[in-house]
Amino acid sequence: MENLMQLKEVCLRLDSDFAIQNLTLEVKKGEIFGFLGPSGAGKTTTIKILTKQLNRESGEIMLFNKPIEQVVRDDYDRIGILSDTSALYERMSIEENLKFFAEIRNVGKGAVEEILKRVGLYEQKKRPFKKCSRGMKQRAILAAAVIHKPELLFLDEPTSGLDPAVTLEIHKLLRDLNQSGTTIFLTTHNMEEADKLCYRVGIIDRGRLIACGAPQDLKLEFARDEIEILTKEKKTITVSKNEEGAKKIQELIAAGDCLTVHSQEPNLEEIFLQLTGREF
Amino acid sequence: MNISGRKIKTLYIKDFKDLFKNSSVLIGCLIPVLFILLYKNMTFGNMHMPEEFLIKLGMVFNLGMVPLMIISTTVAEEKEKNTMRTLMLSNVSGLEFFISKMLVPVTFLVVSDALIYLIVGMDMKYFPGFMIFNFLGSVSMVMIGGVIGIMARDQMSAGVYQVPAMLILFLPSVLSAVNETIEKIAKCTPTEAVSNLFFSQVDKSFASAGLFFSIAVLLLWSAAATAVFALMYRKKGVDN
Repeated sequence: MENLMQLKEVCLRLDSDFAIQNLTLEVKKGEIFGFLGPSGAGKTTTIKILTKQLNRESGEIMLFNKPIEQVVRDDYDRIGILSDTSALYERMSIEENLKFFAEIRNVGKGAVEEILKRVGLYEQKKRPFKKCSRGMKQRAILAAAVIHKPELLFLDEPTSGLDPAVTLEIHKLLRDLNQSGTTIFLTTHNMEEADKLCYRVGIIDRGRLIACGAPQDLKLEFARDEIEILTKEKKTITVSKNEEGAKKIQELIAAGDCLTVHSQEPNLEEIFLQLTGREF
Repeated sequence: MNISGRKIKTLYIKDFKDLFKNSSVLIGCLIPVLFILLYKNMTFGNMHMPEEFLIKLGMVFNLGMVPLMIISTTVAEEKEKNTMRTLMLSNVSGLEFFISKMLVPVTFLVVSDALIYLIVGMDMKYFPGFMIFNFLGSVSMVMIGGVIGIMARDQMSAGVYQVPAMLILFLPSVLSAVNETIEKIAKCTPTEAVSNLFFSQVDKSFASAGLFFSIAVLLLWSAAATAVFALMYRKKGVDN
């Protein structure tokens, strides 16, 4: 798959500390790439560098197959950005807000109707933004960010502080957007969210990329060398992934004493713990 | 930097419509017109307020208050509520944002100045000059409003910066008759300069030294305010 974005040994210091250190990664066209890490790891800084809100100190960045220095203002019309602080105008209705952003992005008014239906806000379009619920607000903000059908969408903690039901709605929307061709670069500290949504994830800690790959591949890579067996007596037996362990499982199955067999794959949070020795 | 006329127009229309939904700013901006309307209808015995006094009060009040209030408060609100950041992330440049913000008070001033003139009821032959001098005066005031907008982080801090700026810019002019010191200070303000320029056409004193001084004051304020705005914009940007 073609790369839409590529970073090579990118560095940036903020207040003399490295915010980003030798960051190398690529985002392929059509994927949802999850950028994970705890608060202060460098996720938002990376988005700011990629969207030219901050300048890197060294390293190379390619965006839409050209060096970022050559990326002009028109290219940024191919991008949508939703940050954790994005907001719409409170005294305007959802529809007025979206019409305004449609004008700014130079897309026809028809796009407003389409996106309102897509994010499920068509019925409430006349409601002033300030009178919307948190979930409605987040959907409206997302609609404004994607009204011009961007090729690349940066999402900075899009579900931060939202309740599980709204989070699920946003996830559905993101999958839908991705299926219609939008590449998504998503930062989150919610490992479960990344696991559910992303084709590939990069884990960042203190400005360094410490792991990168498909969630399933990472889990297999960091899987413990153990298999857990639940017996009829509800006892858990742990065996190694070797000849001896295989023999033990065989025996238990033959004796009809085996209820379940589970390999021990860590979740992304446990991988982070293994890599850094710290809690996420 | 390339500037998009389409984006400025879209922002301007949005800002102008929003002004009429923002009651706190709107009421503040209508005060000069309402004040003149009230003064015009006040009588002391059989005496009415003199037209010259009313027109000067309205002009100075309007010019000293409206641009500062509209720009600084609305920019600060956009910062406080993160809508400015959302705009910047939607490929709107800081300059496009500020141009639209500055066009709104200029439009408002044109309309409210015309209203003030009509309420006062002065001879219409001075009307074009009145509008032109006020428009010239609005350049420096709009830039000062922009500087406060850049400095203010939120609406509260915008209010803190606005009050002294307004007092410095329009109070000396209103109180210039009180004593000579205030009169001297007033002569150096853009509001008084605009007032002097207007009354020079009424008095037909076009060649007086005072007139050239007023033009110089106006140019100096406009140049200085534009330079400070450019400096602040380059140093702090729009979203500090």
